[in-house]
Amino acid sequence: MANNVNTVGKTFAVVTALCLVCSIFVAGAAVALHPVQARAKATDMQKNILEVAGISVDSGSSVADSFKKNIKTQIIDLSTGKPVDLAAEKALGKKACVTGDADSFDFKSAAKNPNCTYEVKAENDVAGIRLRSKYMPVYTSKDSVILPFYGQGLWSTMYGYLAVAPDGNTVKGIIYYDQGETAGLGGEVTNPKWRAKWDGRKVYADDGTMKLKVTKYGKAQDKDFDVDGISGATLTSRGVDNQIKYWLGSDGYQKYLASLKEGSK
Amino acid sequence: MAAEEVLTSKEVFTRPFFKMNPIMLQVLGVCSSLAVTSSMQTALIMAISVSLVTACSSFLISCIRNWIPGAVRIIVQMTIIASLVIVVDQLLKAFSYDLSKQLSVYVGLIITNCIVMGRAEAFAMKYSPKLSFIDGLANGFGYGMVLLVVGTIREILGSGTWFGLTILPTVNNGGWYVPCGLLVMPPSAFFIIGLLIWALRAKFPDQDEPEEFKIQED
Repeated sequence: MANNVNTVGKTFAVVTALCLVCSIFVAGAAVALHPVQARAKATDMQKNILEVAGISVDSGSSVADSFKKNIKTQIIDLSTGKPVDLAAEKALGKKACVTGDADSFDFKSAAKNPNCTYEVKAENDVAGIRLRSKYMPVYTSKDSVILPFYGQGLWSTMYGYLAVAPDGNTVKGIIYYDQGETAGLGGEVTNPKWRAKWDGRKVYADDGTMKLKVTKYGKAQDKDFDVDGISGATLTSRGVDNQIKYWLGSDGYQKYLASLKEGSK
Repeated sequence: MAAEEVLTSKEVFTRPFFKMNPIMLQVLGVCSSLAVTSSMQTALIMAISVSLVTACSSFLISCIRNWIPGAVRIIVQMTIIASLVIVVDQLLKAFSYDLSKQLSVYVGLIITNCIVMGRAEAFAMKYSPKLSFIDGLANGFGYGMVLLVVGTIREILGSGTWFGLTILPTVNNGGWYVPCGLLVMPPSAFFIIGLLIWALRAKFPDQDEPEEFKIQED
């Protein structure tokens, strides 16, 4: 029996049948699991945003409910610092960058969308971003504004959220929700002890220059602006510093934060 | 197929733990065991995933072994393994999103784990589906056992925790233990696996390979 399968015809027949079965199996699994995956991803995002905003999920209510109750999502045009008019955006039809509501806007895929993409100039691109979305979602809760940011660490692109007080200047928290830094060294960016070092730091000096920075371990001097880096993770700390520099700088959220500052006066 | 009667299911199941351990005797699957053993959680999930994939792929390949044309058998095995790996990856993304983020590419790289291919080619092509399933599962467990041992050493001494529970309070968290940075890095698994192989071969001297060269005295 084993011999007669080795003809050319049988070989093709077996391979074709196998490919067909396998592709149906794989495609079936991917399609069937997609809604569950999308939910898991959204829950993960909402959980992180709530955590950095310092809002605990009430027992008995789901992450999605708490998120809905406490957080408002806005889409900001980084070049002007102003919210994007979603109705006007929709009227653009095929040229629109944001097609759904604010909550479903995905800045990762938008970075590759020709309607949305913005090329970061090489001299500004300290965090290795290259292409980003020209619009970014911003999450507001009662007492903080949560800004998504990302950039190169040592090994990986690190994704995080930075919570800033409504004065647009005081850091209220930082969280990394996706990073592949060395566990135990750079991976310590997720350590609550280190994250607590950010609380109360200021971003801009009185003249508006960006002064918040991450120093080498043990070199933080300025109580207002310096965050101590992580011991044994100089390059990851430098990556975090670059990300903060870019995203809170003039190419990032600076205009938006300035408008908050104006509003809070 | 006289060879089939020689092996009992029990033998097939127990062999891969010490007598024919895929990592320690055959030295397969080392790449992923370096990458995922810095924490126990990832090591455990990886062990379960590899066991499932090896068991199911061996079973399926054994089921169709008499229809697989010799000329394309590796590709046929690969297709089945790859399909299973993609499904495992999708399942993890759906039901354990946090862990799938941590494991990132390594789940996808189960495809390239030599243990899976090795069992398919060396065992499943010759034996019945039942034995192949047991063999695949046991090899996955044998691999997982080494992963968990290495993971235990690395996580406790490297991060002061075990499955995320604090065992040795580290300096970063206000304790006394200065973590061993080397054990956090993948190459440290080389040393640990090397020591394990040494220990195992001291216990079972028949696993020693014959010397290829004799070192000459001056």
